[in-house]
Amino acid sequence: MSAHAEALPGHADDHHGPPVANSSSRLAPTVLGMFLFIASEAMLFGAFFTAYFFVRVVNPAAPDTWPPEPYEFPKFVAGINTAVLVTSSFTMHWALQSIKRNNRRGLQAGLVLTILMGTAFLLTQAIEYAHVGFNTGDGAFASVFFGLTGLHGAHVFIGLTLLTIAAVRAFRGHYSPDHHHGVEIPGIYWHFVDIMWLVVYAAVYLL
Amino acid sequence: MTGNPLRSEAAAFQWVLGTVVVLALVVAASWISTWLGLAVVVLLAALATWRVATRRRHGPPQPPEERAAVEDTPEP
Repeated sequence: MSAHAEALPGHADDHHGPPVANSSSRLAPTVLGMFLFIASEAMLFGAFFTAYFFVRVVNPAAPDTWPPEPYEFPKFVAGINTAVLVTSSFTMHWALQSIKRNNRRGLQAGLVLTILMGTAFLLTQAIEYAHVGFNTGDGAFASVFFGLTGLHGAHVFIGLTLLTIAAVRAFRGHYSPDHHHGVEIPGIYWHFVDIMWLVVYAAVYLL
Repeated sequence: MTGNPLRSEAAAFQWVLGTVVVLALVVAASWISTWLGLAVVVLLAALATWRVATRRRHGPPQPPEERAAVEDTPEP
């Protein structure tokens, strides 16, 4: 018996729609797709981190003075922003756990809170850019700073878009304890964005 | 940090918490001394490698059931 026949018991006439996709991997296609996507994202961030550390190492005043005088990175504001983003991971987790327990209100509230905190993060970052006191033309350190934090900000925006789609579907009555893949995948992506920010914050602002 | 963070949101969330702990240790050690920070990074990386290697030895990941059914099917 072939794999196709195993997946489709009974007569071929009973099956409607496109044929079942062949799985040539031990991983489920959705997990494999997410793995490849996040692996490519990690490499993209890796390229930006390489540029950042290169600029930092070749800076004559480093490591004693970073960023170069007279500029300062707003550590405190970024720290508050970090707390907001980490908290949004908790609400995201709460949202998914709620739908697994058939608590639709919890799912909706969790998604809305996550979106609000992600939006707050982006707005705070925009205000930080406006008041940081330097621009991309003020040196390589400024270019890599805006490049790295801006790249992450773009990922937050993508995550917010995915979460908004999930939230709209949640308010329309989609998802159930057995079918919540549309929340789980944006959740994984959101946590990835959160982890990347923690690394960015530690490397750029704290170390 | 347990499990593949790409398989489920819960595992990814655990990675977020683990990252907070790991980076807090690295940053705290770096503030004391740059070399101590580097030592903590090397130590944590070695610990993570050992843990992954140990888990693979004791419990290899099982293929999905539907795939197992296909693999066990004798060739015609």
